[in-house]
Amino acid sequence: MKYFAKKTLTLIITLFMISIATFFVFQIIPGDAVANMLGTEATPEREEALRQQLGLDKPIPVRYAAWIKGVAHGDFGRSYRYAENMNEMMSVSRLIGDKLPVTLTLAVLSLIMTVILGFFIGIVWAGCKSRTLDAVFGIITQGAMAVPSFFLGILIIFFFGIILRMFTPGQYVSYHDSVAGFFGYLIFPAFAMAVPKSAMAARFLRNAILEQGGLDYVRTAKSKGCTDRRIMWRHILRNAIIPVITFMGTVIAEIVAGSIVVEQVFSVPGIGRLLVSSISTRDFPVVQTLILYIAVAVMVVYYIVDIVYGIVDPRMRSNED
Amino acid sequence: MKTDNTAKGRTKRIRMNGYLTAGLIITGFFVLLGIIGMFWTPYSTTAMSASEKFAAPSLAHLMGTDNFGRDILSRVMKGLGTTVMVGVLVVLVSGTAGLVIGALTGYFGGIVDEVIMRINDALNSFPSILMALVVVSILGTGSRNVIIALSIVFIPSFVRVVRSEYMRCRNADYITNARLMGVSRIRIMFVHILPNIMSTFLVAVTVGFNNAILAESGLSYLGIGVQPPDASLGKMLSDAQGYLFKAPWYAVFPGLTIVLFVLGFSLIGEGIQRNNRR
Repeated sequence: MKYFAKKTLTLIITLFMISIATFFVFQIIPGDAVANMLGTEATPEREEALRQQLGLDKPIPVRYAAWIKGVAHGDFGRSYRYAENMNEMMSVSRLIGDKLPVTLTLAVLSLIMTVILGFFIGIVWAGCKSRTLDAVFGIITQGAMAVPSFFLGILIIFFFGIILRMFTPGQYVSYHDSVAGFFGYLIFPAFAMAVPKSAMAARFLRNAILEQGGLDYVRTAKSKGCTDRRIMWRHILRNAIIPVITFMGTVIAEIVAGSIVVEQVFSVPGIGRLLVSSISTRDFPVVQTLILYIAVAVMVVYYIVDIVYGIVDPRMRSNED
Repeated sequence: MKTDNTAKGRTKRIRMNGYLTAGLIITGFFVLLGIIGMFWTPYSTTAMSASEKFAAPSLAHLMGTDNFGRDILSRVMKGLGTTVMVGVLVVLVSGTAGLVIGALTGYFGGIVDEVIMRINDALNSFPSILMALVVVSILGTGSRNVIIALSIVFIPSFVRVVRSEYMRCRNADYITNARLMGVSRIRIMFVHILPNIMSTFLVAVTVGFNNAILAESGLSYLGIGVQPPDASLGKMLSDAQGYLFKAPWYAVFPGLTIVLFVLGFSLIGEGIQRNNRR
């Protein structure tokens, strides 16, 4: 129990640190945001009025308290750019609301593909005896890891979209219109993210399997008369999978970050695309909220991985204290 | 010649192997192309020509021309120059900072080390592109800010590698000997330990180059990295995307250049690692 309590405490502290960091980082630059919003109509009086309206005139700790209170209630402030109606700016949570499920679906799809592809290739690779095949796998995975996701995305658009016409590039289908069309479109960006990650996962798993294969318990199982298949699935894999679980935490974090780029390539209206456009237009409340969202998501993923790790490998629980 | 056999005598000489040779050839070629591109290109990178719009690759234009009739090879060379410059500066700054911080914390340990490592691990757990986006959103875009952003973002990964190596080495017999002989701490850290961790550090450097190249081209692709008139492979790709059907070579060549460049560094890293294992 001590292990889980310790991990939970660390998570809470980290989340608190993240909230402080995200808040203060975006306090360095609020001045030009006001000037930016008013544009050519800026006069000192109007700037001052807007600053008061946005609450930017109060001391920083007060603003942090107000901000974190809002965050706890799901109120992330209002966008500087997007208008709700004639006299109100759109609230950040509304702006993000319908984009979040898109990115989430994309990330989950990509993760599923990474796991299936990575495990399949990793196991086949570890099992292959021929040196040439081993080298071929080595070259393919190394190559797949060297391809940046945006270029892979472009290649996929060219091959599947333009030559095979399996989808129309740039014609994103909303899940409101057609669920099948939505998945049919997202499968391609998800694939673009999954290829380099599954190459990484495959290499990792293959090394773990080979490492386990040389240990005594495998020899024992063999001399007991276990079939190779049984040794692989019941003995080696169960041990080899443990380091891979930790590694999956990093993979998920990178998928979340990778979606920022890939959404841009495939014109998927998710939070990554919103983040990039908000950075270019300097819409700081939106940038701040999205960074907070992604950072918290990454931390929670690592936490879950730690917990799963503790369950799968009891040694972790006793070693930690 | 000084007879300092404690450190240099122990340094494993890096032997060549297939990975290393292939990696060095590929990387060398692209670095050379990039450096040439900084000073000279076959055609002007900005001269437009309406008559030569979307010319397919030919002897006159090895990589074809783009939507303005500009020579793609020239622009790739120029963009490669930017990438090389960004990569070198980023690795130089973050590598040096990481080396110094990692050496001090790893060698001395203690409470400062503990605190720095906690922060370092937290920073390290975030994907670098996300951290780079945060810094760029504060500093603004442009190649100078991209270099600053990436230099900051990559420090933690170097610190982690260097620190664990220093922790491994600090209690080795030859270090204890040197300490007993009265060698100063700074000298122990950088003259005695450093040569022994060099090959591990070099692997980290190749990984750093890879990440810097990918992050720079990624940011530029998103339109928040290197800005025109500076050429960038990432920006070229995003421009080319609209003409995939009409001129596939416009996207293929800049993209392939990034892939091969990154692959070259990966091969060097792999080669050094295989050397170490033996």
